Amino acid sequence: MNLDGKSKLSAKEWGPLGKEEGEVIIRDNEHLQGTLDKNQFGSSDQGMVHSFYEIYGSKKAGELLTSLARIFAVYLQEHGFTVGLDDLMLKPEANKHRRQTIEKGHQDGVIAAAKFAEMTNFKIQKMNYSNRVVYQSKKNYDKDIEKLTRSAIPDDPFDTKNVKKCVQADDPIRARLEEKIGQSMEMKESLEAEMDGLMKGTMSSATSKVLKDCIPDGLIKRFPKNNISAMVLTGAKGGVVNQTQISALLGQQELEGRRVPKMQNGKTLPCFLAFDPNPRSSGYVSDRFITGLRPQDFFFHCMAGREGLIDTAVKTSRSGYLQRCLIK
Amino acid sequence: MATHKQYVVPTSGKPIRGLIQDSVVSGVFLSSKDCFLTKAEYMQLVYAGLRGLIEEGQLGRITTMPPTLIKPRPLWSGKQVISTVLKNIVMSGLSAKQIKET
Repeated sequence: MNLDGKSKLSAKEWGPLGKEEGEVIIRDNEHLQGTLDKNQFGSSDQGMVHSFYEIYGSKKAGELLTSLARIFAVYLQEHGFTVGLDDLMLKPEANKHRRQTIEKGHQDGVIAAAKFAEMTNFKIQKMNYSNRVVYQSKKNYDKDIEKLTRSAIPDDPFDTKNVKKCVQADDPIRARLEEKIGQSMEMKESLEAEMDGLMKGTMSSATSKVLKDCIPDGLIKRFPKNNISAMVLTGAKGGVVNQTQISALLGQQELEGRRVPKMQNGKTLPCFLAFDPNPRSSGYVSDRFITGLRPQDFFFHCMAGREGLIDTAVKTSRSGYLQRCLIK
Repeated sequence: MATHKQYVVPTSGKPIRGLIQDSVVSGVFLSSKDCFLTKAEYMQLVYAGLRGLIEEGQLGRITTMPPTLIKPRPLWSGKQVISTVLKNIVMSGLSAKQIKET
């Protein structure tokens, strides 16, 4: 058998020393170049085992598949395979970058909301908009992060006057949004849809910037040593989405293609303000699994997840019934 | 069940059987450029792969390969394991005389 094929695993992942590893070459049944992966021995068209099947017949192809499975099992025992926290963590610089991008994204979101509310002269003053207070150890103390932390809470949280001022910074937007969206029942639906589209667009640029910075450039460990990346890149298990949700952020949660819907009183959850312009209140989750989610974010994520479950349940029953009708 | 005859889908002729998950990762590690094996490791893997055939009497003598590296010590590449198995499976079921002729 002679074979030229392509690896699923991109040659780029090997760096400058493995430029040719993306192209599989087999000559006279000798494997000369390229990494074998799912494309070669998975159930994929024109792969190594498939070619072998077409040339040498079903019995020998079956034997080959069995042999490969045995070899790989033995080799994996010898080689070892493990996943740890350091496969999931970001470098401090990347993490800082991530936090700053998220902060900027939240500000842009609020500005976009203000623009939607036709408030042209709105300027962000004190940040009440996004993030959690993060404890910084002395060893990794970072001034810029501290700034973000500081702006998220008032200097003295027990000073009620200050808290009030902080919360009220975006009050005009909320009032304006309530006025605009609540003006008529017919317009409500389309206005909310319009705002959802606008905010989703604004936040998705922040999300994609974070993802670009974090995966895979921001990871502490990179491909050959990072077993999570190995699974994702070789197509063994898990996708880029899973990896980003673990290491970077969850992103915008959606229900029926929209952001999290508001209740009658204009709130998405009881703990948020009515018509809150902060993207976080409408299902924009900037947290990740490795550091944990806040209760609100967790709930939004569950809402989106539940919708997926319902969709599959409904889809199968509906299409099953349709097929039954057709075949009858 | 003659599972080897179920390798492809009748409609399209595309394969349905294949290795998954742990075998995929292992296969990539084994066939990658920086994988080198000692004689013991190489022989162990080849044996693991061909044992089934040997026990069925399909294969008498296994044809192995010379190491890729000689110095500082003899080392085989992971790709050679694949090559060895391919070659031996192709030759399996043939008599010694037939092998000599090819």
